[in-house]
Amino acid sequence: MDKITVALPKGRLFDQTIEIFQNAGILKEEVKAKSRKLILETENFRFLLVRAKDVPTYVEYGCADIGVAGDDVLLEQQPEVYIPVDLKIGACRIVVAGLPESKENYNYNLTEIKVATKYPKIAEDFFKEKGITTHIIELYGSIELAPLLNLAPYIVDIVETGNTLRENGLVVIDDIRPSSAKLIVNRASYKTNNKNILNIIEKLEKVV
Amino acid sequence: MNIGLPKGVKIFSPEETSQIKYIENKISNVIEKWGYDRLYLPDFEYFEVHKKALGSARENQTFRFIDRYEGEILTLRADFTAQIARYVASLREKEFPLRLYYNDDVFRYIPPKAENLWQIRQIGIELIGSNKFEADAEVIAVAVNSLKSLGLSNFQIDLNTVSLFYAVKDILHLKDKEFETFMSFIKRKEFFNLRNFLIKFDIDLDLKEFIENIPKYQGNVKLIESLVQKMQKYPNLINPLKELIDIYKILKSYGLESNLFFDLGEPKEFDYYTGIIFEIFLKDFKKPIGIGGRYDTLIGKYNGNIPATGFAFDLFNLYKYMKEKNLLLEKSKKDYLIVDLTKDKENAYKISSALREKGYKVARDIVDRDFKESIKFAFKNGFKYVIVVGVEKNKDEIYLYNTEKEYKKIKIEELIK
Repeated sequence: MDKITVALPKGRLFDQTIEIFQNAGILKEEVKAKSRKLILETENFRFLLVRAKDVPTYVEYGCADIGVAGDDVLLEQQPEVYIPVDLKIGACRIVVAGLPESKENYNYNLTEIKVATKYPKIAEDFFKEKGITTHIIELYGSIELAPLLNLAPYIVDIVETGNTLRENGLVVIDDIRPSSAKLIVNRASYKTNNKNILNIIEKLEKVV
Repeated sequence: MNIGLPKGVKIFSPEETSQIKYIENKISNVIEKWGYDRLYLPDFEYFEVHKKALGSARENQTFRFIDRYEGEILTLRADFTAQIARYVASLREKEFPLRLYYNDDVFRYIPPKAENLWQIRQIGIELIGSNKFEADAEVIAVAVNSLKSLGLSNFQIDLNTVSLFYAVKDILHLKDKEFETFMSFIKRKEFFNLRNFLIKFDIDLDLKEFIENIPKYQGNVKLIESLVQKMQKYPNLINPLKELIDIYKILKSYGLESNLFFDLGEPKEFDYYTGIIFEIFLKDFKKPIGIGGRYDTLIGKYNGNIPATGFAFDLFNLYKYMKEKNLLLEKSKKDYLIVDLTKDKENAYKISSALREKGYKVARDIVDRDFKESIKFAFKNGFKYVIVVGVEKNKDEIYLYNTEKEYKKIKIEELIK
């Protein structure tokens, strides 16, 4: 049997995914991402450690057969992949946030909005449906700074516990949607390695 | 100074061009043997008219511009089948069956990432005026014979029918918007969302299970037969499945059963298909090289109620595969380069026209340089022979080189006789 290549984001999601694979009985070995190695081999799998944002790219172009990616990344990139299983890990919410005093203005006949975000597409789609014109300021991290420094009154970001928002004096103003990690599958791999991949999907479905 | 090309277009070198032309010639020969006539279609049409036969996704991909004379919006051709549907609808005297083929480019704006092109070359056929399975089978057979003429036999034809999805739409009484959501779950194989979607419907468990598992139905004819057995209670569902079996039987009689595969969970992107659809894949190649299907209501979007079916090859994908697997010959060679060292060049004219008349490809060296340089140039640029006139005083004799070093002396009379 050919090894299945799995693209996983570094960090907490990596350990959680390994745990789910073990619980599902498709992975026997211990796998720890401690060294700087980017490829980890087991009997049945080859794990690639990549940036969360890059997972869909590896899967879409077939460098990996399957991968794990959050809704935030999938919605932003719209990759051409299958999304068969909700792994129910990495759960968070995609929200609009800002300073408490910006709340009133948000709720009052908003026709255009300035937003700092890592997710320009999600933000734009969300406001477009409400008929609001969006001015996006794209940032790559520490989004919470934007309202504090008056770069933009609002941000669109993911929140898990809300701690970072609170510590910086920001509040959730609007809820866009929940997000959780999904198993994604390369379309050609699904076709050519159908039995193996379907087996993985069905075993994962049982444990999540 | 910017001398670049826009994203989404590319130039094919003379060698690549001749290889693509070779593929096109092979395929069009097969198509013509089945009695299809070629159509030259315009590169652009009115947007309002062209879009009637495009799905909304395709409509958004069109390249639009303004006709400065009438102020109308025009669009580059995004789809041949749409153009042919309009053409057939506009014919005053329609005689069927009509067998038409085309070989040209479509223009579609898709995100310019990786090697996505905006200008895509196709060759394809339409069989218009028949609602019989034989017509669908003929279209598939033409596709298969085209591939065989290129020496390809490791192809797989994935069969599906969109009628199945419309049957589910009817059974669940889905509104258009709901159906769109449902189809997006099927397309991306979002099993968890599909299950959640079906929770609210008060339907029998076996029906629910059948629908939930549509994205997983991949296999041979036994799978389809077992589904027909299982779903006897639902004639709406088994009719499309029976259609698939009927087509299978015809294709089996053509000896194609080992190339056939059923994939019910892979609905195509086009909104215009109404029945059987198929995609052609080659082993070890990730993208489909051909796609086709039945479109019985498309011509009606313009005028009349005429069933039809057809398919198209994506020539660049087919070319890419054959190139990767070394299945293409190098650019076909030219026969002679003639270098004339004399002043009047009389002999060069005489020899070249005589050889061309005999059917050879002959070019003259028209650059002033040492003739050794000319010989080097010729063999580097795909000529089989070089003729050098006037090396010696004897005007009736030439040097004929078959490599850079080797030559023999020949009388002109002998060469052109």
